[in-house]
Amino acid sequence: MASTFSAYLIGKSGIQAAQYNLKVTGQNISNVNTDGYTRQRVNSYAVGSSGNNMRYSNKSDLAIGEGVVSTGISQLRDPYLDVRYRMEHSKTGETGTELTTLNDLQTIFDEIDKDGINSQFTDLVKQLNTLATTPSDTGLENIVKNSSLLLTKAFNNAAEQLSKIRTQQTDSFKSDAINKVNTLLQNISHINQEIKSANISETPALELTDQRNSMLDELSQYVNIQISTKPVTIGAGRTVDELSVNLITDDNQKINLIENDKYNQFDLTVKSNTDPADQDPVTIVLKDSVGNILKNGSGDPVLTNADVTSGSFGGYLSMLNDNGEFDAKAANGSDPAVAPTTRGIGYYENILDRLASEFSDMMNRANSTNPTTDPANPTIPNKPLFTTTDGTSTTGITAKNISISDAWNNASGTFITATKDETLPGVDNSKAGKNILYMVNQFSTETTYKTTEGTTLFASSINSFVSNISTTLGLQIDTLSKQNDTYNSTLTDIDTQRASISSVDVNEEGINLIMYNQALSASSRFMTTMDEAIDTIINKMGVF
Amino acid sequence: MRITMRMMANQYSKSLNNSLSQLNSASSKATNYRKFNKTSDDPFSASQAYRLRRESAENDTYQSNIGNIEDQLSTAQSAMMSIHDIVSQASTGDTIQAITGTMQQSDRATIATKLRALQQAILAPANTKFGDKYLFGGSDMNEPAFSIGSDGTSLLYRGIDVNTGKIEAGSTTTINGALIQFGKNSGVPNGYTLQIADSGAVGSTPQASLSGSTITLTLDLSTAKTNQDVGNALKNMSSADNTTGFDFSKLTVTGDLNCPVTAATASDPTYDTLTPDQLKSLSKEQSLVDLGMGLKLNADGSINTQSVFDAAIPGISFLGFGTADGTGSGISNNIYTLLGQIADQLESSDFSIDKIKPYLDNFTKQGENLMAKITESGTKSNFLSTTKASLETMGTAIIDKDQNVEYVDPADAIMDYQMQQAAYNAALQMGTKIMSKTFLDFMT
Repeated sequence: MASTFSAYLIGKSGIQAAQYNLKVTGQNISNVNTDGYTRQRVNSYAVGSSGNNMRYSNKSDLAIGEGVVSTGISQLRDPYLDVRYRMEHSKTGETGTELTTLNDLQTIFDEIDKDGINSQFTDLVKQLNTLATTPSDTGLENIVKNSSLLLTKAFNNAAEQLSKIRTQQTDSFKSDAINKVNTLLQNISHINQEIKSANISETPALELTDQRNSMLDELSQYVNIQISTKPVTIGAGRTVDELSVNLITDDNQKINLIENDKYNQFDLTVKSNTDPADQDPVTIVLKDSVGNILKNGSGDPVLTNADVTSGSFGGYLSMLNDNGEFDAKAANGSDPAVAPTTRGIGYYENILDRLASEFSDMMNRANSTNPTTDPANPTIPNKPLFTTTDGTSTTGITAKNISISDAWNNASGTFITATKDETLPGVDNSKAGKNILYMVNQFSTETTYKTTEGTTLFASSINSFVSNISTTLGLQIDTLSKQNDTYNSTLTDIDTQRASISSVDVNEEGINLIMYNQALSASSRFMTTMDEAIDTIINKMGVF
Repeated sequence: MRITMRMMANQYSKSLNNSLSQLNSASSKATNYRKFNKTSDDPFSASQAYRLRRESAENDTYQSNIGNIEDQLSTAQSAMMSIHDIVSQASTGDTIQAITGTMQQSDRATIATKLRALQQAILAPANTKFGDKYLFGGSDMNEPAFSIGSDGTSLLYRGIDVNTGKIEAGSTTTINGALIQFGKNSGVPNGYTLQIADSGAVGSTPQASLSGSTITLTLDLSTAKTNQDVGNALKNMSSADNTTGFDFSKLTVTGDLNCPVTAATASDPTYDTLTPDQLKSLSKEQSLVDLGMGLKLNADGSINTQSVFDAAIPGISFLGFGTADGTGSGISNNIYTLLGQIADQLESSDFSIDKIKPYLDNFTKQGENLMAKITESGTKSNFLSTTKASLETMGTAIIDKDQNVEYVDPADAIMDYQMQQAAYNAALQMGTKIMSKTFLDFMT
């Protein structure tokens, strides 16, 4: 026969299991709106009868089970969805960051509802055309001079704003993004330590795991990471998991960021004036937790700019370092006909400088009276209209330093060469104006612009150059923004799937409450029944 | 798929946000009626818009150019017509037609006086002004085109005798894009050249010296940099510094005054008379205006004259220049001078009809030439008014196209806005219905 009081144990286990279930349901309901919370449930299994295969077992004891035992609490989470989420998140991080920078650039180049360099060019051509009909009118030439002055100021302004955007993005990279990631790396490694020690003492630390998952999600926005766990023996035949986070490069190399409780830190170096000219404007480095740059066996830094290609970091690096078509160098073995990188801030800086230099060169040559006989050795124009800020130099003109030449600024009387080709004998025909018409014609002549290495930029005329840049930028933004929308919607989908598995449904928990409550009542009722039965045996059997 | 309240709440809030952002864009379209506010909203339409705006601005410039030229041309035509009236008056029955071989001395004197009066009347219309521009000076519209020479009788066009080609201001040369005229009594012979040299010493006074047929001007090129400075240096030179023996005090310099001078600059050889061919090229001088006919360059970089409009009317092209036999004292081709020469013939003591006949024939011929020029100018006016009409049509068409590209129809925009607003309101109302009761509300 079975033991008298063993049934109590069955009841007690039932009550305990029901209590655990109720408590976990309560935990789920309280955390219904907590970000990143994964719903929990109790793992329990029925206990079979023990000792059946032992030496002194009693066969007449029907092998009735001995209740229920709760072994632990687990989370309902699909780790594969986490991997997909993080991959998608790094893409949205990259496109989001690039969009912010490009939208800032658009405020400089977009002239749909405001006036900028483009409308200033139109005004200059208009004034030149009017001057061509009466070139001897110094009043009209002053208007042309003023229009040109405004144009140089528009150039200077645009260049300054470009440089400001660059500084702002560099600062935002350094102070916001990198600091944030470093804090995350540090925090994740601390939590790793806590989770591991909790696991060693056999508690699953589910809330800490949820926290760590949130932080990993956030980290994935900034860099393209890969997470791996490896089991580590802690003696007595037991193992616990250690988590490590690696940065994955395009050719599948892994660069370690976190190894359980050890973490590395990112840092950004900005190019200074003393660095070589072909160095990237910003360089990212990986340092250990005390601040030494991590180097590989041959003394080179472990992390280079080429390794970080996606996530917010990839977006920043691409906007700050890439120059689009201007990066195509035949010397590097790249095909100069193809743009090897995206068009970042550098592309727009270079192309604006190009416009300034082509425009001023065109005007200076049209105005000079010393023609070039040898095209390989062009003479320096002798009556320059536009120079650098020093007022005389006509080489190295950029958008930042283009100005009216001192000679034009201080000239009384006319300075624009109105006639160049023929002199009529006996009379002063310097006012005939054909050269000014030539200048007007040059504005609308289409040329194909190439970089110094021979990559084609585009074919355009000077007066439509800026609207071409604006359209190029607009197309880039449009494409990127559609990509961003697609990535974001995929991200939302994955998140919805995750929530579908892991988030708490109040209806479900409510049903569970009723269910577990009934189970509790049922077990309690069983205890009461057993109590009555044993009471009968103890107090009423064999008593007369 | 398992659905939780949180998921529904998130989805609802995203959809509501979408609806609100569409409402926002519809409301901005309904206020400024623009299809797009930034290039990135619609890059293709934006590039069209930029191009159309540029074309519209060009069209405006051409229209305003035509407006100016049309007025100038009609003023020029009425001036030429009044000169033609004078010519007709001179050819009528009681003047030139009345000349016969048997006239009396007193009759001839009367006709001569009338002719001289008519001659004087030509000068005023020949120097017609439109605003502050002299119309018949070719490319120079700041000075009166015609004047009388210092001998009181010869007609000068821009300082050049219309018959002999002699330059009133004396020896002339061009240097570095400027025209230097040494002045009437400077003494500089023809064929001399002016050479610039750098003195090398800062602040030195300019010196002029002569060697062979080269006048060398040595000056400090670090301070005297332009053609204007060269002219001033020569003009204000004291006799101690000027060892050439020429007088530069009446020197004038015109043209490209701000052109920089270098040490290698040298002038063309001096001259004081124009050849008949040079006079002819003066009469064909052009002043080109861009009227949107497709401004083009020739292969050598010069302007293709077919692609622009020539607005210059050099006075000697219709008044005539040079002489019939090419010599300085022959029968003049110029109407003004001819009238004077005819009057001289009438007043001379050995008057004969044979001697005066070539003058009278040439006068008729030049009168016909004037009429031909007036007709030619009329043709130009016609061309201008046709071009103007077509520019106006094109301008309107460009503006229409631009409106189509950049702006929405106001009715469409407002209707769209109303619809978005209704959609948004409906979405708001659904909210409370979706996020209402859960199972917990029904548990007892």
